[in-house]
Amino acid sequence: MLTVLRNNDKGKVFEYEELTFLKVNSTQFNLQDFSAYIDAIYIDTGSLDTIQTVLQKIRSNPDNLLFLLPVFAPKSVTNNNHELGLDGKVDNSDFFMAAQRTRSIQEKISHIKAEINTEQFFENQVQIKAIQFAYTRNMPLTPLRNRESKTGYIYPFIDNISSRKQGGLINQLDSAVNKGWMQQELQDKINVCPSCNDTYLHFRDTCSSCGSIDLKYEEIIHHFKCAHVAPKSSFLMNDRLQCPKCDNHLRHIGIDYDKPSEITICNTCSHQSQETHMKAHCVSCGTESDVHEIETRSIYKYSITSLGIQVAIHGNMGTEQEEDNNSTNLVGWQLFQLYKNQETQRSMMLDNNNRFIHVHIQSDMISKLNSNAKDKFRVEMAQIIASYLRPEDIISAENVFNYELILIQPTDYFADDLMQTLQYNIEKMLGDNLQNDKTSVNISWDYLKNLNKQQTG
Amino acid sequence: MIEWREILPEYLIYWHEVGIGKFIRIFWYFIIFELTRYILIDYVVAWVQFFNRKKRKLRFDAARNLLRAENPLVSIIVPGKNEGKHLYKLVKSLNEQTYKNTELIIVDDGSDDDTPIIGRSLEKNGLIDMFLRNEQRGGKASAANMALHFAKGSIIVHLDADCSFDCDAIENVIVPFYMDQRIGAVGGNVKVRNFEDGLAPRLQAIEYLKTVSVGRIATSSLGIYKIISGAFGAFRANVIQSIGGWDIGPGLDGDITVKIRKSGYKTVFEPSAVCLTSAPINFRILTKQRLRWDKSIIRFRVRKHFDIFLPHAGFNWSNFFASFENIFYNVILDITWWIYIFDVIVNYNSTLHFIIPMNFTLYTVVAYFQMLSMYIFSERRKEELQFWKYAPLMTIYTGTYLRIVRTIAYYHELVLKKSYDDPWNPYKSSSQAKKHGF
Repeated sequence: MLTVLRNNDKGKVFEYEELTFLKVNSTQFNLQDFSAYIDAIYIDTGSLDTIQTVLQKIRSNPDNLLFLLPVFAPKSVTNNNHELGLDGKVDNSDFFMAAQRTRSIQEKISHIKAEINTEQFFENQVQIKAIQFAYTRNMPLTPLRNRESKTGYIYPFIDNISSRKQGGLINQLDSAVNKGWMQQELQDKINVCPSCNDTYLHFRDTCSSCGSIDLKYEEIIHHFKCAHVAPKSSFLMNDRLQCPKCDNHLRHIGIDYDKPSEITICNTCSHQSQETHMKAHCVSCGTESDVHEIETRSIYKYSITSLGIQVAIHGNMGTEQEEDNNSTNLVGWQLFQLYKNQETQRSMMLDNNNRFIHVHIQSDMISKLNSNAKDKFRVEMAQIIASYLRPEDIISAENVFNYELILIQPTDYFADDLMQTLQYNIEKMLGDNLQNDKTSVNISWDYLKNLNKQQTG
Repeated sequence: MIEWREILPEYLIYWHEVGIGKFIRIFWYFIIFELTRYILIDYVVAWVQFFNRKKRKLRFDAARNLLRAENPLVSIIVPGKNEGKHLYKLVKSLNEQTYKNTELIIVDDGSDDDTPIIGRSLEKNGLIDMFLRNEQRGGKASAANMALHFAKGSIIVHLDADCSFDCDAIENVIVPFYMDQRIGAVGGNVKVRNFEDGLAPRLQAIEYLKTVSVGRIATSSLGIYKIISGAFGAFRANVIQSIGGWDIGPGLDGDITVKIRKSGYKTVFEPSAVCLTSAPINFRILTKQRLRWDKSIIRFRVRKHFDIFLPHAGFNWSNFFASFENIFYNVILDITWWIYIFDVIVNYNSTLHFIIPMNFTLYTVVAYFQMLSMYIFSERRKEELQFWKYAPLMTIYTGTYLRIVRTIAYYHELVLKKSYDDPWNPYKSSSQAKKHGF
């Protein structure tokens, strides 16, 4: 039986079998107002947009008491529960099923002692949220087919966490797999545009000479008797096949003639060839790519592991390090800035020779890379630079073009030699790999103790 | 004082004693046929060529200037099966050519090795203008005809993939088209590249010099040149298209030459257009090759183009003699040789120990005369001097081995029509050719 506890313009709170539900019908409500006592949320609207917005508001909340709340909607909402990221649908205000589901989820939530640390990198927050969600729902994060998604698949929970591009967040699930928190099961492989990551690609044959798509295909006929070989059109005579060399009718394939191959004729440039170029045209951004440039990605279902359950309940006990970082020298950008400020102060006080080095890379080709490729490049470049450092030095990458290093009390010889080595090796590496690109590498440095003067000056 | 009788071998003294009459009676085959064909005719042609050399050079140079001024597109077509391993070398060899306005069309006739991968890769990298592949093998003629269909040039040069070329070979093979508008096809000068690979290729190298280089200079000068080698030949595109391209082989190179001659055009040999090819490296492979070649003489010259010998509206004496020379010196003289052997064994059984060494001596002397004629005609004289020491072996190679192979081939073709069973052509084509009597 439903008992209304509170009813105002921000939302209606009611009780059902000792569970407290917040009923909202618009996005105009403040979750924090109810956070202390509600067990679940019922979005009482048929509007998919409203449901989606409310879900995003809930799931993106950093408070794990709130973002994990069970959310229900009326059964009249046509979409599948899972597509929206709902925990269920309510039939004619019959909350029986919703109550059962809520109890099960709330019991799991009660186990969770770990809180989402908003000081953590956003990526880490996503990983923790994902495993906590998977744990409380006792189900894997499954990709669902969706035409409106760039990849053709959505992970409803991940979509609701943030308005950031899904691709990047999905990578966080892969990071969680690398950490042993989740395990993945291959569901599909998709081809994505190298420029915009969209899967809406049109594959078509193009002329190997001019690139035109206006091609005509013709079968080649071999007349056994006289060894004449030519396209079918030259054999066609009044709807019958007649050999232009010996005038014989070709009656029986396999006995009189065969079709050993096919020729492609370009209607634009008249080029004839058996070799066409398969190209992919991205409907979203218009990029024309060769097939070998197309990136193939795997779509996985992610299930929580026993280690993941421990992390979901107790939090991440490990030290925070940047994704993909195998080097102890490489740290995240925010942490680096914090460290840099502290070290600058310390250097001023102690008057030591700690050095700050800034590496700037200029390249048109790199700037055209998509975000994933840029990310990979950034991490790889930072790792390469880190490989030249001593254990006490640190490096961080602001983006694909800018890298900052702090050398702790280096000898002048080491520091100068390092800068020369970096200058030569990075230039050579870029030169070898981006041969048609104008690249430049600028390395500047100063003592850390002078940095503050520059900033104040 | 030592008498000459004491120095000379006994068989020579014997022939000195019996007199010229008996000598001619016993060695009639050698004197009537071999001496005239391979010594007299070659040397007469050599003298005629020698006296005309300046005139011919002027004509050749004038024709080359015309060619360079017109600079026509030349389509180089290379049909073949499983030739991928040769393609890169071929392309490199053709890149060195002095004549540049060419297109290269390779036809892969149903290869079952890496040829399609290699061909497509070369096409993609712009080293081949067109790479065509037939998934189902159709035979060399069909592959050549396919290339012919897609060729855009006014002159077609047909090559074998395992050949390499002197850097002016393509230019020189097409110059004769500018010397005489009635020339429909030009044969290149094919020599053996791998003569160092053993005795078989070495003897073939001498044979090629004798029959291909010198022999074809002679027949070309006499206007009875009858075979444009499939390894290297050039054709006017309109002429070859008008006769429908190649017909089913084996022996399609000889067949197309006859077809061109029958359509009223001349065929000539160009000795300065030099192409090097790989000859069979042992006698087993060589025997198979020669059986195929020799069978084609019966199939095409004797059967398919027998109308050349019959009076009709298109009758032409030079075509008559071209085919007659081919049939006479191959088929008829082969039969005659066996009659000669029979004659000698039956009638001069007791003096065989004088006849055989004398016969060998005569052929060896002739072989050296032929080496001299090759030396006169050749443009690679110094390199070919090393063949001189193998000249005595040519008596056994051409005089005995090739004759026996030829005889077997003629029997196979005349009686059993074995050329239609040759796996060189796919069954689907051979069966149709046999059914229609081609």
